[in-house]
Amino acid sequence: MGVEIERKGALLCLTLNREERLNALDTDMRTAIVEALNAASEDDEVRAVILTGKGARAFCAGQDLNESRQLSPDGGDAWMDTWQRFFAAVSQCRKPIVAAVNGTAAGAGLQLALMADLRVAVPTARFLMAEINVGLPAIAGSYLLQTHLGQARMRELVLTGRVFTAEEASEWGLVQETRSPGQLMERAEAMALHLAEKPPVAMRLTLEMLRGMMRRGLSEAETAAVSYQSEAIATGEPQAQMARFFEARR
Amino acid sequence: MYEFLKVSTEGKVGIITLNRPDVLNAWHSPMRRELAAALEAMNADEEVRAVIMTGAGERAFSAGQDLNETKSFDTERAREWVEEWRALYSAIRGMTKPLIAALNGVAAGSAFQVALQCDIRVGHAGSKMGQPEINSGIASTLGPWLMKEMLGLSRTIELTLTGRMMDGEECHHIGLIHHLVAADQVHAKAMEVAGELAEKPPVAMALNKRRFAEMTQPGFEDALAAGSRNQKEAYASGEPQRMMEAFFAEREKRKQNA
Repeated sequence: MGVEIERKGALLCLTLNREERLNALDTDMRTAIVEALNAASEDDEVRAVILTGKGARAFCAGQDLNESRQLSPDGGDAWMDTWQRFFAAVSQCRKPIVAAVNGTAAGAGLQLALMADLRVAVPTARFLMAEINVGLPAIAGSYLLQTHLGQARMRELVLTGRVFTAEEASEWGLVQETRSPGQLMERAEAMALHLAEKPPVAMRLTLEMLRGMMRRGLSEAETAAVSYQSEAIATGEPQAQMARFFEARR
Repeated sequence: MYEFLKVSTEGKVGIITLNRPDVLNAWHSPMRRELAAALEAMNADEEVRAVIMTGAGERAFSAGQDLNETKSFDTERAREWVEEWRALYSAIRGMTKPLIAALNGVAAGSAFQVALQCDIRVGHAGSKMGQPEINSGIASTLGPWLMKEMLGLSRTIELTLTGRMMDGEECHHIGLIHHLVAADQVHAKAMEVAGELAEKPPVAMALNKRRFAEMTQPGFEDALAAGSRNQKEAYASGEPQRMMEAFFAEREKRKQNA
């Protein structure tokens, strides 16, 4: 299974489970997450969600480049469609989400963490909006980073594609707490449980308001992303960058 | 050739130096026109992949508006003036290459705004920045809009109403200066950052830059429209002209006493 799904009382825990690929998101994993979160949104018994990654290295390395580079020219639309469903399910989830960032969160993996409500990370977690390094514009990523951090930090992170540390993320208020790997899940569960115990009507209405603040901006960014990505791909630059990336890794 | 700028390239990096050091690189209309033209030329030059903007001398990146120009404004000239800013800011916003501000010294008022529209800022402890417009009786509109995009409302209001200048440390702490280095390292660090960005894939770089402009376009238009209304009203009151005359009288007195 690409995603482990576990119920613990009022909590639903989703673990990205492709450790050998640094938990990079392929279509099957995205589908599993969409189904689990949509079900949780409708399930009165689920009061909070935890997202984490398997293993000690990565929370989520982002999109699976093996999958994206094998896209057929006419497969692009359907592929983008699965991404839009993924973003909608996470960003509009009707239950609070805690991200337990157990390692690297890159690209779409960073976006996943940014769409959660609270973030707890191991001190060695690394964060990066890596798109520029593989020749892709970071459209939804720019929106999410800007929303959390403002323009000044967003621009630097998006244009350099550099790693930022858990320490920087804490200083900026992006990560609420840091915990050692041995204590990460325990703390994430305590944070999720704390949210699960809030009065459910107030939680539902508050989340509706918070989700609403992001809905228009994020959906506008996703629409823009489709045309920006196509424009990049039409030049051949991302394909060449990714080929270089795989060459370097061999 | 430029009268008020120095322009050069080093490898893939273009360097624009604001060059009126005797007036702390303050700008007037002709200098702003040159700056817009230089940026557009860099943007069109295929050999250039990143651009650094800096100031001549050791004291200032730029003091912003040359008050010698504005002190004699009437309401019609004030309205034109806002349109001149549209031209310069549109040139900056239209850059499809990364723009790095090497803050060799103070960046005040509109120079602070120009620095904030660069992508990455390198500075030192003496790189003071802020929006002192209120102190010259000039109403701020573009500055608060830019600050709010970067800092949120709380800091924007405090900085706009007090006209307080922040030192380099504070700017670094709140994320406005990305790299805080020793004064004699500002240029080298800016070159390092520019060199790194010059190696990024240019299509993705240009698309990100275009998207940043697109994301902020409604706010930009709104701030310009408000700027036009506010400047007209402020100059009609005679307050900015009086404040600037007072500023020059004060400076003259200091010179004579010195």
